[in-house]
Amino acid sequence: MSIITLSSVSKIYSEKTARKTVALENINLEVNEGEFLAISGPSGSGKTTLLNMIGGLDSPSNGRIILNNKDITTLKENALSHIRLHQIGFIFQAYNLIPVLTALENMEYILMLQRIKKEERQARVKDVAFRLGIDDLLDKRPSEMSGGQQQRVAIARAIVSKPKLILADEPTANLDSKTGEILLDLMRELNEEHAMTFIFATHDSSVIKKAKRHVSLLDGMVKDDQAK
Amino acid sequence: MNSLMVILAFRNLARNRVRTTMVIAMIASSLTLLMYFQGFMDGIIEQMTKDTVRSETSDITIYGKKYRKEKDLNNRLTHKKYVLKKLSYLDSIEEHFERLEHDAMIASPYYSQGIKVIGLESEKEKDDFILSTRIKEGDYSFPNENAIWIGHALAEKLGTGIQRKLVLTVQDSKGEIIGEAFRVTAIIQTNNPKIDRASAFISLTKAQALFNVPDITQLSIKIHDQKRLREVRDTIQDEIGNHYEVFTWRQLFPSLQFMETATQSYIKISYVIMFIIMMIGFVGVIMMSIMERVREFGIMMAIGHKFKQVSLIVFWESLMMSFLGFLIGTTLGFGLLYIVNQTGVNLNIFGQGFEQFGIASIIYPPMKIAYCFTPLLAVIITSILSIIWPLRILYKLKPIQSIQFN
Ligand SMILES: Nc1ncnc2c1ncn2[C@@H]1O[C@H](COP(=O)(O)OP(=O)(O)OP(=O)(O)O)[C@@H](O)[C@H]1O
Ligand SMILES: [Mg+2]
Repeated sequence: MSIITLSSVSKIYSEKTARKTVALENINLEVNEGEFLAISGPSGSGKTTLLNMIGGLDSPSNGRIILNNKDITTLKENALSHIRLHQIGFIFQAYNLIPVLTALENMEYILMLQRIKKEERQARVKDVAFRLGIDDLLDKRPSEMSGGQQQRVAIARAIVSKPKLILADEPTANLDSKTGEILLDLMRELNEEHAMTFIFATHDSSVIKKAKRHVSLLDGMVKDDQAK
Repeated sequence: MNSLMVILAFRNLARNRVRTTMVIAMIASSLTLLMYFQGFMDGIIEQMTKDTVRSETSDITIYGKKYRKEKDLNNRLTHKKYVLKKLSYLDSIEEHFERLEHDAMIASPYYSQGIKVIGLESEKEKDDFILSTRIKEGDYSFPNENAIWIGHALAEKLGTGIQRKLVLTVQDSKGEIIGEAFRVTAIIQTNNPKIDRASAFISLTKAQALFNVPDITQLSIKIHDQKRLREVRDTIQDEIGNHYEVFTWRQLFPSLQFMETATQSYIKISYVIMFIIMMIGFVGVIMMSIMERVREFGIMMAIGHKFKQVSLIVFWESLMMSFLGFLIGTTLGFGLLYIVNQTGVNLNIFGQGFEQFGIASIIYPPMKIAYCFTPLLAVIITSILSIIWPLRILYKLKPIQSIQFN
């Protein structure tokens, strides 16, 4: 079943001074539930823009985006933040976490925003922390963790609320390749165990190798789309 | 949900301790200063009011009909028994005091001057008027008929002192010129220039004998409840009819009222200016702290915060800082006022001569709970107003889109 469908999506940035930048041009893409999809492409090819469109962080200039059978292109900011909170997990390249909260609080925070009861929150956080092997980081603040540890906590935060879709923008770009691979294996396991859909942008070939499907962008257009 | 925002706000403040401390210190010190200033000004007004009013009368004063226009013995207050009887029906009245005042010439071997002679009931006035507490030399008593008290400035001019003799020359109600010798038993200093420079006090009975009248010129009334001042005055006027004129102390001393109002507006203006300055600094600080965190706010919004919730965090940060500043500032302010309320503020360090204007050289600022109401209101308003502009800017920056581009 399709979790996300993009039809003829374009994004044009027009700044006052500069000429127009076509970041995405006529993208058609359908992603099914449970996919583990890598988006690659050279810098400036539109990977981040594409993920932002899918996650409702930005709206397209043209075209439709259907998330879980709902057209999100027409939604207002408050409705979008509701969808982001309940249906999507985000992992960014770095500095994902709220610096004044500990790892545990960063995870629990999302659940508090979702108004989930305390017992359940704690059970879920513990569960995820155990699963990702970050039990011993729970009391640490982001500034006391390494980049790899922070990304692990970021993944934990993204999955703790059990979203259907997880969007990761170059999650391993700031990590050494070994840590990156471990992290990716972890994401893949989560994908298989819980049928969580992962879409991640990367230009790391070792990451692309682990994907089940690979879409490559060039100049804002889909150059290639292949299942492995 | 809100408690979450509060915790976040608190930790954010703790993150930049130096800046937070500076802001709080700025608010606190401004408030302390303003409170001190307000207490000091109130102290001056209260002292002037007390010194001026309570050396001359009590809460309400009754005169004969035209006496205020022309202070002549012919316009004195007659039928005192009738008036007192009427007053005895009113339970809002606590006490009444009689005085007889008229012009006289006072003379020492070196100097003579026209003054007011005031006959008074010294025992009765003791607690309500201030003269008993303003004896510079001698005693608050008339040990015999010819005892006289005089103001300290007058004593200086006359070159006289305790136990020395003076001569009063008066014209009595029949038009006779009479001279009589008195002995100084007290020298008085009230800060009321009228009293200190041009008044002498003798006992009421002696004054009545001297001026040859059985009556008085002024009947002062002390009432139970200051809040009903106006109302009690009206009742008295109604009771005793219009052969008499009844005044509240506020009516008798309009300049004091004016000074009080003027000072209050002055204090209000100071508050407004201070808060505008504070607000400018505050806006700057909030702006800076927001700008540093645009990406952080972006992440928060990406993971599901509404902009409203982000704003709420900023609001709590601002409110906590100003409220802490308020608590510290008012505590220090009350502490300072408590101290100077005991020790007094000595104006002599600014030079001499305040007494000419009726200002005592040592001011005792009062400590009023109300002093923290304006600051409280002000900090709440400040913390709301000063986040509006920074938040607008944050909103325009679309923090959510700044996540990917550092
Ligand atoms: N907010 C923006 N305003 C103007 N132009 C933008 C904006 N965001 C992206 N662009 C432009 O859109 C194009 C696509 O950018 P995008 O960030 O999606 O590329 P990317 O594939 O993620 O690149 P990278 O690998 O460097 O992260 C670029 O030319 C970029 O300059
Ligand atoms: Mg990118």
